[in-house]
Order: sequence, then structure tokens, then C-alpha cells
Amino acid sequence: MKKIMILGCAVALMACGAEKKSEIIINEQNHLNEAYNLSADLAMRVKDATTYEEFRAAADELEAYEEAFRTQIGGESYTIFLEECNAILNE
Amino acid sequence: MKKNRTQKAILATIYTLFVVGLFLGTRCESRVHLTTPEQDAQHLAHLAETVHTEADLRKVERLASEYEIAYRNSYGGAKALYFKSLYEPILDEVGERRAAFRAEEDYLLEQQTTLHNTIADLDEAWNMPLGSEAEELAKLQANNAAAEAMRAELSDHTVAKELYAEEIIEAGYPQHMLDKIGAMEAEIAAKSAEVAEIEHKSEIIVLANKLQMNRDLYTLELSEE
Repeated sequence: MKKIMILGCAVALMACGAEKKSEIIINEQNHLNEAYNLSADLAMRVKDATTYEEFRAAADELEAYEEAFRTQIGGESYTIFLEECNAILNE
Repeated sequence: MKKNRTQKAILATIYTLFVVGLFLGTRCESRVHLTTPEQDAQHLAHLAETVHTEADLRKVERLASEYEIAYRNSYGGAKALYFKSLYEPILDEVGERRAAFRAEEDYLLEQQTTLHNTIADLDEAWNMPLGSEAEELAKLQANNAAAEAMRAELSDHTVAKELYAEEIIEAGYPQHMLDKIGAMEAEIAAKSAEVAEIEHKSEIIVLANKLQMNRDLYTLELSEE
């Protein structure tokens, strides 16, 4: 019983750790600037990648930030993030 | 004798409570509490000003409808109509705001789709197996030729459909002709989708060559012409 409880705690701690590691927090005080700066930086990295691995890493990060803007901020900043990314990637 | 009188009193009390309960029940059927039509309309106007989502807007509309039903049930049609005349301009405004919300949502969805499709296209281009420069150029040219042939075919189909539409008008819209033009339209839509797919494939070929080999197939194609 004790062993199961210890194992359960360990799994729970690992799950919390893993979740925290991938969590992106958008600065709520400065989200508009972050939308402009991050979108430009991430989209340029996606566009300028010289290998598939570089591209995939940048694209994964861009998609993670897109999700963070969508779920944490939304509204105008999220729209700006999308617009800027699209403008850079499709120019 | 005394016991009989007490029983009658209890029965009368129960009956009175039942009638009062029934009366109150009909009054409280609605969840809304009525004040005056002006005040209730004002309340709706305040709520309408604070909405930020389409779900909020639906709540205001539902509340307005509940008020109207409550006025009709409690005071009759005239007061309900008067209340309606007060809140209808508010609902018109709510409708305009809903249209704006929907337009915003559509725009956002379009931007999301564009971003996800662009990343998917880039991924596909990075993973596309490539041949020599001559082979890639030949592939692009074959693809472009197929698209052009299909566009010409599509144009013929469109002209045929327009001519047939005129025949339908002259014949007085018979059902079998309407069915046939429906089939023609479906064929045109399918062909348009095929053309778009071939054109998209050409774009991916060009992109793949640019990303993986730093080749500009468009320039090479133009120089060959």
C-alpha cells in the first residue's frame, strides 16, 4: 500500500513538472507588444530555417505561442499575433 | 360538534392556501420580476451595453423574450406590445453587435486557418523528395500544363452551363432541366477544386526546391520559355 502511494505521488509530481515545463506565460501587462515582437521573431525563425529540424522546432514553438495567446489573452493581441505571422510567412 | 367545526376551519385554510398558491404560481411562472415597462426596458438596455460575447447577447435576447411573455401573462397583450416597442430598438442594436462579433470571429478563423495551412505547406515542402534540377523543372511544367488544360475545360463547362441556364428560362424552369443544371454546377465545382489542388501542388514544388536546394524554379521556367 505504502509503495503504491509513493509511486502515485512520484507520478503526480512528474506530471506537474512536465506540465510546468511546457507552460508558456504571456505577460498580461504587455501582451500587445509581446504579440508584435514574438510573432515577428518566431515567424522569421520558421521562414529562415535552413534544415527541417530547425523549421520543425521553430514551427512547434510558434504553434505553442499561438495557443498561449489564444487561451490566455485572446482578443486584439491574438489577432495581431496571427496577422503578423501570416504577413511574414506569406510575403 | 366542536371537532366538526375545527375540521371545517382546517379544510377552509387548506383550500385558501391552495388557491393563493395557484395564483402565486401563475404569477411566478416566469423567472423575471416585473417592475414597469420603462424600467425593465432600461434594465435590458444596461445589460445590452455590457455584453462582450455572442453568448451574452443571446442571454439578453432570451431575457427580453421572457419579460415580454411575463407582461403578456400578467397584464395582457397591450402592455406586452408597449414593452415590445420599448425593447425592440435595443434588440436591433444587439443584432448589429452580433453581426460585428460574427464578422470578427470569421476573420479570426480565416487568420488561424491561413497560419496552420502555411505551416502545413512548409512542412510538406521540407519533406518532399526532390530530383535533379531538370527533373524538378519538368515536374513543374507538367503540373502547370495539366492545370492549364483543366482550366480550359472548366471554361468550356462554365459557358455550356450559362447557355443551358438561358434554355431553362425559355422552357419555363422544368424540373428535369433544373436537375441537369444542378449536376453541371456540381461538376464545375469539382473541376475547380481539382484545378486548385494542381495549382497548390505546383506551389509546393517551387517551395520545396527553394527551401531544400535554394533553387528558383520560376526563374528557371521563365528562362526556358
